[in-house]
Amino acid sequence: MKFRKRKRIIPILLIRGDLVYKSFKFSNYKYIGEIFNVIRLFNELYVDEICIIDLDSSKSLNPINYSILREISSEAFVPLCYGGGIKDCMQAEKIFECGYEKLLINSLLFNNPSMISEIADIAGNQSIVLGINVQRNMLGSYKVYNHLNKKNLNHSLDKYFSYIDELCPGEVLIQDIDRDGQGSGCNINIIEKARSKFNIPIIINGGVGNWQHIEEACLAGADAIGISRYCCFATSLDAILINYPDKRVYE
Amino acid sequence: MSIGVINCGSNNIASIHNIIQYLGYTATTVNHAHDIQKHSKIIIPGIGKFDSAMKNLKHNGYIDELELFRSNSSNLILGICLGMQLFTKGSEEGNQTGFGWFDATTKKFGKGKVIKNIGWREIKVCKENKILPHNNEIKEFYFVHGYHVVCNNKDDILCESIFESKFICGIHNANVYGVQFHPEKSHKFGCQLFKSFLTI
Repeated sequence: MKFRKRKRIIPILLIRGDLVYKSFKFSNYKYIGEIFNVIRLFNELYVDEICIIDLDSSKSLNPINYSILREISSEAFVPLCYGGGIKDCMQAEKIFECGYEKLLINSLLFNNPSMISEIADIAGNQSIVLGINVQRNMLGSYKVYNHLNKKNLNHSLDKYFSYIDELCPGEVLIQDIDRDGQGSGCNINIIEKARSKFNIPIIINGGVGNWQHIEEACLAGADAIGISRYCCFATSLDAILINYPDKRVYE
Repeated sequence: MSIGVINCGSNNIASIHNIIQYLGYTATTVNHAHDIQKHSKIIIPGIGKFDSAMKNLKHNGYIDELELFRSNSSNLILGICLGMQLFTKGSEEGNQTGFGWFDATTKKFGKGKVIKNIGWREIKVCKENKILPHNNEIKEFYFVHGYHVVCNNKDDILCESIFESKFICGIHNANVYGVQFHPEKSHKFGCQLFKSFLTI
C-alpha cells in the first residue's frame, strides 16, 4: 500500500464577534457572513483544517470570546486553530477546552515572547503556530509588520526567521500583506526563503486566486496553503460563495 | 451503554463530546476517578505532555480505577493521541511510568530535536478489529504529535502510517484501543471510527 503525504489547504477566517470578514491588504474588510454558517459549510465540505483569527481580540480591543469559540467548534469535526490576543497559559488552556488544537500566536512575539515557551510547556510545542505578517517597505525589502503599533520591525526577514525558529513552534504561518485578497498568487520568494530556514511546517497565506497558485506554492515548499478569498467568493468579489477545492496536492 | 470521557488536565474533551453528540449518543465527562465504574465505555483523550497527564491521573486515583475498569472484559477503552501513549510503559518525553498495559514505549520522532507530525496521513489497518475496517479503502486521519508508540508485540499493532518512516498509529489488545490520530477532528473518517466504537 502506498502512503501518500499531502499538503493541507486551510481556510483562514477573520472574525469580528460572530461575523466573518475578508481583508484586502489587511484592510478594506468585506462582510462574508455569520461564522457559524460558514463553519457548518466548511465542515460539510470536509476541509483539512480551519484557522479562526479574531481581529478585535488580536488588537486587544476585546477579550477572547470563548462562547463563540465553543459554538464554532461544535459545528466542525476538523482541526481548528485560533489566533487573536492570546496572552497567557490560562487563555491557552481555555481555548483548548473550547475544542481547538492549535494556537496562532503573534502579539506575544512583540510584547512578551518568554510567555510563548510557558504556553508551549503546557500545550506541547506542536500546538503553537507562530504568525509572521510580512510586507515590502518603500525600498522594496521585506519587513515584518507589528499590528499592535502598526509599524514594520527594523530586522531583516532572515533575522526574524531565526528568532522565530529559536522559539521552537510547531508551525509557522506567514502572511503576505501585499498579496492579501489580491488573488494574484502567493509570494514564492518568501516561501523559498522560509523553506531554506525552517524544518517545521510552513503555512503560507495571501494571494491564492486559483488552483495553480496552490500548486505553485506547494512546489516552492509550503506545507500548507491558507485560503480566504479563494474559498469565500465565486468568480467575482460580488458573489459570496463558500467553497473548497476538491483536489489535493500530494508529495 | 454509558460513555465516559476522562478529564485528565489540559485536553480537548469538547470535541469528543461534539462528535459523539452528532452521532446521536451522549457522553459524560469523568471528573472523579470513582465515577469511572458507572460507564461501560471510557475514552481517554489527551493533548499536552506525558508527565503532566500521568501525574494528574496518578494523583487523582485514576490508575487503580482504570485497572479495575479494564479487568471487566465487557468494558471498552479508547485512548486518543496522548491518551494512547499513556497506555505504554513510558515515554521519552518524560520520566513518569505509563500504565504499562502494552509491551510498548513512546519515542520521539527525530534524533535530536523533536520533529512533529502535523497534518493528514493515510493509515493502513493491520488486523481485524471492531473500530476500523480492515480493507484497502483509503482512510485518512489528522495527526498532531511529536512522539509515537513502538510495540514489542506485533499482535498489538492496530494500524500504521508513514512520517519520515513507517510508524504505529494504533494499538489494540482485548478491550483496549489506542489511536495516535484525532478521530474527533477527522470528519467522515473519524465519524466512522466513533460510530464503530460506540456500537461495539
